[in-house]
Amino acid sequence: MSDSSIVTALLAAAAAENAAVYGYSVAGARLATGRDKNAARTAYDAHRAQVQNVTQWLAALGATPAPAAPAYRLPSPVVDNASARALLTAIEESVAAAYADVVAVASAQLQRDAALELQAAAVREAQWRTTSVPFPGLVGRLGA
Amino acid sequence: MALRKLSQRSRSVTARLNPRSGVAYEPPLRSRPLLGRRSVLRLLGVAAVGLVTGCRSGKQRTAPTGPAPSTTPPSVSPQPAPTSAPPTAAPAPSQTPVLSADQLLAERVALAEEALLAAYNAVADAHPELAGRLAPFRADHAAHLHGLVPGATPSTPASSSTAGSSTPPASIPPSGNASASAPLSSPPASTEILRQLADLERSAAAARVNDVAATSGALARLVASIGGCEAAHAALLSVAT
Repeated sequence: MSDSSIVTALLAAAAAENAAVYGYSVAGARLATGRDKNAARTAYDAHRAQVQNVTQWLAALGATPAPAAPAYRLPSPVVDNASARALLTAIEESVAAAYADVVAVASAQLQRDAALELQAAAVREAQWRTTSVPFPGLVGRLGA
Repeated sequence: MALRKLSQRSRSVTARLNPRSGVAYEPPLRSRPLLGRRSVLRLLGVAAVGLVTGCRSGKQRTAPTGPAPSTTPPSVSPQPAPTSAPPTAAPAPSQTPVLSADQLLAERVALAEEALLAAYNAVADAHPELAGRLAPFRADHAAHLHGLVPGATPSTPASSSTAGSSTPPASIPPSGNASASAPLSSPPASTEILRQLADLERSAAAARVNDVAATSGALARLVASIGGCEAAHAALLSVAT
């Protein structure tokens, strides 16, 4: 695959990770239990670390991601535990989708790393959703 | 015991499926980590039966031009091509029974999904009290199979799956002598079963990461997503125990 398609996919992944960092900072406080808050904190750290990783992958291809926006428009307001979980579910799905796109165009170690990041996002998504979906990262893209 | 024979059979099946890559495809899931364990092991022996039969039917599905897949299904292996010459000699893709690399990969992953389905079926048969709880997991794998091999039907509609089990489905020996006081929640046997299913899902997810490397584009995306689902299953099953 061409470098440019990989760069495009990685730029989208960086944007998704930045949005995730923001989303967790908003939703974390609304979660009901200490256990969930801990999980959210761990996930927040993971997304921040991924921003760095993706930035490095891009740097290796001579590209730089756009900086994080100071705020992001949320799909729906976060007012309570349920809406916080809904936001985090949607965030993880979009992160998984971004890595699915990387998997489609990358190869070798980057492709593996992206597949593993998709899995990590899918695990978090299932935890917020409390169920699984058959095709994380492809929700809404696949008929099934 | 019978299990060993089964795993040999399925090993040769996978060898056929993966004829040219020198990489030995990990025989899907069931036998390796589970041999040596007792109760659920028998269930998964049943799963291995499902694997073998599922594999056959899978082959039937994807090799439309191949000869009838009886005991020796040569349809998948590019037998006429022991040399590497044929690429030029095989012009029209519609005419050659040789599966593309992507088809082989899809078939291989489908096999693994069949094996997981069989494992869930076997557990549901032997432990009806877990069936409802596990149904969504099973449904996900059925969806995977469908996504990989359109038109595929899970080889085993629940109970008929275990037709081969002339040995009765393993009754889990109650570990300890705690009589079944806690009804559904956490009898040790179910905990152990869920844990082993989680292990199966975890190694499936790991296998998908390797599978992805063999392809790109839409199939890579699909396989990676299936791996994501399996990783999520492992997590959910672990939480449940």
